[in-house]
Amino acid sequence: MKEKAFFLLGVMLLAAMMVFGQSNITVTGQVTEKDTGEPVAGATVVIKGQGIGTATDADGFYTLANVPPGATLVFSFVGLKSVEQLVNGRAVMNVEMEEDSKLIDEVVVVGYGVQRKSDLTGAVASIKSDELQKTAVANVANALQGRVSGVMVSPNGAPGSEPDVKIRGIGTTNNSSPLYVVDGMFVHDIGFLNSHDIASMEVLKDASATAIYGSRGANGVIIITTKQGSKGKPVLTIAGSEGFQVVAERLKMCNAEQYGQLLNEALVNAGGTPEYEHPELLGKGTNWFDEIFRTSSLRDYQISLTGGSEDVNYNLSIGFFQQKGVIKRNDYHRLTLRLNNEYRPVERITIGHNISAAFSLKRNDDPSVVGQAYRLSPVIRPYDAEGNFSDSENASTGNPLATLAYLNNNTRDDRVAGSAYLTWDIVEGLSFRTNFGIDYLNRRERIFRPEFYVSSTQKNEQNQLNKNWSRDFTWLWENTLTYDVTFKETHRLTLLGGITAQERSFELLGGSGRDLLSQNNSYLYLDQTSRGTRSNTNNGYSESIFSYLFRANYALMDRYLFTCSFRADGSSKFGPDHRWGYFPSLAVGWRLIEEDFLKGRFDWLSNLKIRGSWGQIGNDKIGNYKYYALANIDSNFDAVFDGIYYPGGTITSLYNKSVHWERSEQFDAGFDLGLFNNRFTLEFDFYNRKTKDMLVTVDVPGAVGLSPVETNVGSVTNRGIDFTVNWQHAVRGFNYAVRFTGTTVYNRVGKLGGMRIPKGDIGSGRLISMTEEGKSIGYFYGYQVAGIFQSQDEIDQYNAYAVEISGKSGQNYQNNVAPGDLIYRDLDGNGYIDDRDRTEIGSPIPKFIGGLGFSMDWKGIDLSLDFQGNFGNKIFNAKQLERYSGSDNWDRTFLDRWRPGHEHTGMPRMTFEGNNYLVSSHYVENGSYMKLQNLELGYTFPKHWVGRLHLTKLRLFFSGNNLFYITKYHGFTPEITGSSLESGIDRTIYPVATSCRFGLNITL
Amino acid sequence: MKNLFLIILVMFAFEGCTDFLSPEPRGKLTEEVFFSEEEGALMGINAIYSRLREWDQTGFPWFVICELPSDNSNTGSELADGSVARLNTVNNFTYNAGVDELNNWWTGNYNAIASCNVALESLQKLSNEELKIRCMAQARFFRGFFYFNLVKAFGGVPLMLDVPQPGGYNTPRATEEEVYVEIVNDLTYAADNLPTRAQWGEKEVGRVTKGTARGLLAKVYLFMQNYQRAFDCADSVIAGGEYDLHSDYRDLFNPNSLYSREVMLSDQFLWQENRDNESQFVMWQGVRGFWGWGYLAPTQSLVEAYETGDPRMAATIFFSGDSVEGAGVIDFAPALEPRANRKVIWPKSYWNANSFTKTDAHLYFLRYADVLLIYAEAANELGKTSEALDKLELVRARARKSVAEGTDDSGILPRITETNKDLLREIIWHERRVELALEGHRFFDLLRADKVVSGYALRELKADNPDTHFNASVNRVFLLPQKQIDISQGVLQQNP
Repeated sequence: MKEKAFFLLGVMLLAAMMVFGQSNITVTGQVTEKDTGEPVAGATVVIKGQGIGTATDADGFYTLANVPPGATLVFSFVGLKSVEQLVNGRAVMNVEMEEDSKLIDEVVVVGYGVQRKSDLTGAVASIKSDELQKTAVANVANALQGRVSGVMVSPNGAPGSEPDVKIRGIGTTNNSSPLYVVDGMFVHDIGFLNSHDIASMEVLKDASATAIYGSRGANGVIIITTKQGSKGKPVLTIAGSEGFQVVAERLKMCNAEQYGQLLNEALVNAGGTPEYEHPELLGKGTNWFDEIFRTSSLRDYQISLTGGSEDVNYNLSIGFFQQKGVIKRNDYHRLTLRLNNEYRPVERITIGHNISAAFSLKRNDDPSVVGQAYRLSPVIRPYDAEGNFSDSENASTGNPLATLAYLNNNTRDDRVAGSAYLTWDIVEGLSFRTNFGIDYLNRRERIFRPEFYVSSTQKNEQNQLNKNWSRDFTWLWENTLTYDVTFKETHRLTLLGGITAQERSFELLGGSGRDLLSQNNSYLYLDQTSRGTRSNTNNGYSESIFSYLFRANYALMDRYLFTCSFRADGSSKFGPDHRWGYFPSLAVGWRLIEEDFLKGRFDWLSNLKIRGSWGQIGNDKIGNYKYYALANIDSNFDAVFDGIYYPGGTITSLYNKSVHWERSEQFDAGFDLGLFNNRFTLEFDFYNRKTKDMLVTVDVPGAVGLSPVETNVGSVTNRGIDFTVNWQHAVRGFNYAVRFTGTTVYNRVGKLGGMRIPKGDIGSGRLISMTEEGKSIGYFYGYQVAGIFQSQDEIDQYNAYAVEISGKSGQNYQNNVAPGDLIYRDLDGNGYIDDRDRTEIGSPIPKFIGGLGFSMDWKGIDLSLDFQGNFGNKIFNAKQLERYSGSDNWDRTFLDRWRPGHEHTGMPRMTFEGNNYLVSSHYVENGSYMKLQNLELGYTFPKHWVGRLHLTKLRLFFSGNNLFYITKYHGFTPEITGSSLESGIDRTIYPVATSCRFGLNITL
Repeated sequence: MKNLFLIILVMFAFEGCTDFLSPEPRGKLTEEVFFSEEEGALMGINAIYSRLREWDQTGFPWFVICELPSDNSNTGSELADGSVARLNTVNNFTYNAGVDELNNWWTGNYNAIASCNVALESLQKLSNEELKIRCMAQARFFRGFFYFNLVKAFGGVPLMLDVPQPGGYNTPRATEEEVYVEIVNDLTYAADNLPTRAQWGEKEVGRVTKGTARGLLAKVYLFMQNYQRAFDCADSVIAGGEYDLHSDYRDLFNPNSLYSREVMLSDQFLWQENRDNESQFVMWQGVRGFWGWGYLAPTQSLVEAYETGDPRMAATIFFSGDSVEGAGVIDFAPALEPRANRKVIWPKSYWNANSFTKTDAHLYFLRYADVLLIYAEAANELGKTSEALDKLELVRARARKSVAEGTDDSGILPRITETNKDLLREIIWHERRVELALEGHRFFDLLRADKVVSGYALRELKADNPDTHFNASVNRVFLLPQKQIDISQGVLQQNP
C-alpha cells in the first residue's frame, strides 16, 4: 500500500515537472514481448536523434536518465519490430514489442552473398534452424522433405546414410543430386554436419539463383550457413535427446504353416510332389524379421558456447550423435566439433573461419539380411538343437542371423571441412573477399570375415581381412570483389566479380590378407595375415576447376529488379577442346506492391511481386579421365604359362574425346504474394528445365566387345509448379502457423541418341526399368496383365486365336501356362505374347509431392505436426519376383493366390518361376503415401521459474518421426531410394524406421 | 589496392599454367603410354589368354551352349535353384531368346575378340618384327577360336576385325560362310607363323603353338565338311610329333596334368594363394549339398553309351555312393540325379585352400585325342579306311590301357575293324562321344553329324530324352540373344 502511494506520488511529481519544469527526466519501464508477455532482455532503448541509450536487463527493465520530456524513445531488438514512443513527460514507459515477421526473412543467403528477400529475382527457399532439428537422423538433408517446395527427398533407413535429394524433377539420367555449399565451401555431401550447428539452409532452385555456380548448379544448390557468434556475454546452450526406433510391422511373411501349404501347391503345380505331408502341423515357425530387427536407441547431444564483443565473436560447439540400426549389430555414431569465429583486427578488415571436424564410425551396415529374412523359409529354426546357427537349407540364402553374427565391418570417417576468409572494405561500398576452404576426408574401412561354418553353402573357410584407407582432399580458393552503390535513392546496383580455383585429389590404398591367427578385434591388422595371402590395391584421381564469375543486381525505385550473372568454368574432366563452359542467366522482378496503383490502396495486400528468369547451367558430375583411352591392367588379365602368372592388360572400354558438360536450360516464372500484413504468404513458381547434351551411356552392341562410355546425346525436360503457402497468426498469446508446400513434376526424355536404356536387372534376363525418348526417366517396362486363365478351355481358346492370327500352326498364345496363370495382353497384335508386347506399366516419379505442417504455441507449450506425401508414383514390388530358390518364402499377399475354389482373385496360382514371374503390371503397385513425418510437442518453462535454477531457458520435448504411413503399398515403407534410371524398385530395402525421442534444451 | 591486384594477378597466373586443368591421369595408364612399350603389347596378348578362364568361357554360358543341350548331360542341381528351370528349357529346346547365357556367350566371345583386335592394332607400333609376328599370330589364333565359338552357336554373326570406331558399332550379321572364311584366314596365319611347342620353350608352355592352330583348323574344316583340308591339318599335327596321348585317361584330367603333351589348349585357371581365386569351371559343378553348385548331371544315356568295361566311364562319371578320398562316401540327395562330372572331382588333397571350388581341374578346349579322331573321321570320309582305323585304335588303346592297375584289359574295347564307311562314321562319332564326354564337344558334333546323316541328331537326342523338342531345322543354331537384337534396333536379324 505504501509503495503504491509512493508510486502515485512519484507520477504526480513527474507530471508536475513535465508540465511546469520542462526539465529532463528519468524514464523507467519494462519491455515485454507482445505475444508471450515474456520480458525482452538486451533490448536497446535510445533517445531518437541523440544516440544516448541503454539496454534492458535480464527481466526487461531499463532506466534512462536525462530524457527531455518531449523526446522520442526508440526500442529495438533483433527479430522484433522497433517501437518509437513519444515520452510526453512520462516517467514510466512499459513497452510491448511485436515479432517482426518481415525482418526475420528479410535477408536471404544467395550464392556469393546475401540479398534482401524483397530484391530476389530467383526462386530461393529457406529453412531455419529449428525445423532442422526435428529429424532424428544424422544427415540434415532429410529435414528438407516436405518443408521446401520443389525438393524431393527419399530417405534411406540405414544409420548415417545419405538421402536421395532431387530438386525440381530429375534433371539427368546421371547423378542428379544437388550441389551443397557449406559456408562457401563446395562439398559432396553433408553427412558431417550437426543439425544444431546450422543457422539456415537455402535451396536455390532456378537459373537466376544457381547460374552463379555454373557447371555445378544444374541440379539445384543447397547453401548451408552455420551459426555464428553474436555480441553479448557467453551463452552456453545444451541440447540433448534420447529415443528409440522401430520398424513398423508392415510387411508380413507367410508363417510356416502357410508357407508349407503354398510350397506344396507350387510343387504340385510344377509337376512335383508336396514337400510337407501335413503343413498344418508346422505351426508359426520363425518370423525372420523379428529375428533380425530390434528396437534400437537414438541419442543426440550438443553443447555450444557462443558470444562476442566489438572485435571478436565466437561460436564453439561439440556434438555427439548416435543411432543404432533397426537391423541388429548395425550402428553409427558421430562426434562433431565446430569453431566459427570472426575477428576484426583493424578497421575495415574482417578475418574469420568456420571450421568443423567430424569423426564418425559406421558398423556392420549390410541391408542384404533383409532380403535373406524375406526369402528364408519360416520352417527353418534360427538355431539348431545345440544352439548353433541352423543350416538355412537354401543354397542362395543363408541364415540371416549367422550373416549378422559374422559381420565385422566398420568405416571410420575423419573429416575436416571449413574455410577461412578475409573481407576488406576497401572504400564505402567496395569490398574484397578472399576465401580459402578445404574439405578433407580420411576414410578407413575395415572388412573382416571371420572363419565360420554354418552349412555347406554358408561358410567361410579362411578368415579374411580387407582394409581400405582413402584420402579425399579438396581445396577451394575464391576471390570476389563486390561493389554496392545507390544513386539518388532510386538506383541500387550491386556488382560482383570473382575468380576461383578448386582442386580435388583422391587416393585409395587398400590391402587384404587371409588366415589370421587370432580373430580378436585387436589383432585385425594386415601384418597378422598369412604372408602369401596378401595383396594390395592403390589408385587415385585428381580433378580441378578454374572459374570466372560475374553478377549484377540492379533495383530501380525498389520496384524493377534485374539480375544477370555469368560464370565461365574450365574443368579437367573434359578434353582440351571442350574444357571451358559458359553459363549465363538473366532475371527480372517487378514489385507491384510498390507501384502507386497498389501501394496503400488495399489494406489486405501486403506484398506482390512477379519474377521471371532464364539461364543455362551445367552438370559436371561425371567421372574423370573420360576423354582418355585407358588401359585396364587388372590382375584378372594375367595369363599362366608353365604355372606362373604373367601380367596382362588390355583396353576394355570405349572412350569419348569430345565429352563435355551436361547443359541445363531453365526457365522460371513466379510470384510472391503477401496478404493481411504478411500473415498469409504464397510463393508460386512455374519451372521448365531442359537438360541438353545429357551424358548417356548408350549400350553398344555386344559385338563391339568394349564397354560403352558416356556421350552427350541426351536431353530431358522437367516441368511443373512448386509453391509454398504460409499462414501465421497470433490470437491472445496463441500463435499458430500452417505451411503447405507442393511440387508437381512432369518428366520427359527428349533425346537419348535413339537408344533405350533398360535397367533394374533382377536376374534371369529380367529388366524392370526403361528409359527412352518420349517417356519419363526410368519408367517400368513389362507386360500388361489382362487377367488370369480360369480353365484349360480358356487357354485353348487363346491358343486357337494365336494360330489364327499368326498363321503358324502349333503357335501358343503363351507358352507353358496352366489355369491360374497370368494372361498378358498381345499389344503388337501378332497373335501371341513375345518381347514386343512389353509396354509402359507405370512410372516411379511422383506427380505431386506435398508437405503440410502445422505449428502452434501457447503459454510455453509448442506443438508441431508435419505431414508429407508423394502422390501418383508407382513402386515395382521386385522382391516378389526375385526368387533365388524354390524354397524361398512368400509374403502374405500370395495367400490370396488363384486355386480351384478361389478363382476370383488377382493373384496367380503358385509357381516358382516362369510365366507369372515376368516383369508385368501385376507387380506394379500404387506408391502414393502420406506420412506423419514429424510430431513434436514441447514445453518451455516460464522464465521466472527457470530463473530460480539460474537458467535462461529450459524446454522439454517429445519428437516422433515417421509415426505412421497411409499407403496401399505392400512393403516396409513406400520410400524407396535408387538411381534415376532404376528408381522405385523395392528389392528389400533397409526400412525407414519409426522413431521417438525425448529431449531437453537448456540455455544458461 | 596494390595487394588486391597482386592476388588477382596470382590467380590469373595460376590458370595460366595449363597443367592445372589438364592433370595427367593418376594411377591410370593411357592407351598411348601402355602400348608404346613392348611390355604393353605382350600384356595385351596375355590378356587374351586370360579370357579362357572367364565365366563366359568356362562357366554357365559354356555349359549351356556347348554341353547341356547334348545327350551327355542334364542340368543337375535341383528345381529349387533359381537357374535350373531356365537351364532346363535349353536342355529340352523350349528356351527363348531371353536366356542369359545366350547373351553371355555372345558378349563373352566378342569381349575376347575385342582383346584380340586391340592387341592386333597396338602391335602395329612394335618395331621388333619377330616379336610382332609371334604376337599377331597368337592374337589371330584366338580371334579365330572365339569366332568359331560364335559361328557354331549362332551361325553368321557380325564380323569385327578391327577395334570398332564410332559409327561402326552396329554391324549386321555376316553369313556363316563369311565367318568361316575369316576363321580359316586367322587360323591359317596362326598356323604359318606360330612357333612350335619346342620353339616356344619350356617356360612358355601353355601358349598356343603351330600344332594348336593346325589342330583347331582341322576341326574348323571338319565343321565345314572340307575333309581333305581337315585330314591335311590333322595329319600335319600328328606328323609334327609334338603332341601325344597321355598315358592314362583318368590321369589326363588330374590337376597336375595341365601341361601334358596331350593338352593343346586349356583354360587358364590356376589357384594361387595371394589370388585365392575360384575356378569358374569347377565351382558350378560338384555334388549339390556337398561342394560346388551341383550342376551338370551326366545322363543315363551317356552311362549306357560306354562299352562294357570301358574305364573311361569311371573316369568321367561320378556316381552317388562313390567316395572321394578325404571326404568319404558321397550319397546324393534323393531329389538329385545321382551322377556328377568326375573329371572335376579329385581327392581332397587336390583342393586348394581346402575348397572344392578352388581345384585346379581344367577344361581342355583342344587335345590330341580330338585331333586323332578328326583325322580318323576325315580319313574315313576320304576313303582312307585303314588310316582311319589306325588312329581310332590309338585312342581306344589308350583307353584300354587306362584300366586299374593289375586289371586284365584284354576283353575290353576291342579294336574296330569296320570298313563300311557309313558304319565306321557312326562308330567314330560314338568314339568321340565317350572319349570327349562332358568336355563341350558333343552337342556341336551332333549338329555337325546331322548335316551328314540327316536325322542323326534327333535320333541320338531322343534316345536320351524321348520328350525333347529338338528340331534340326530350327535348332541347328541358337536364337540370338534378345538383348542384342534389342540393342541393334533391327540391324540384327533373329534366327528362325
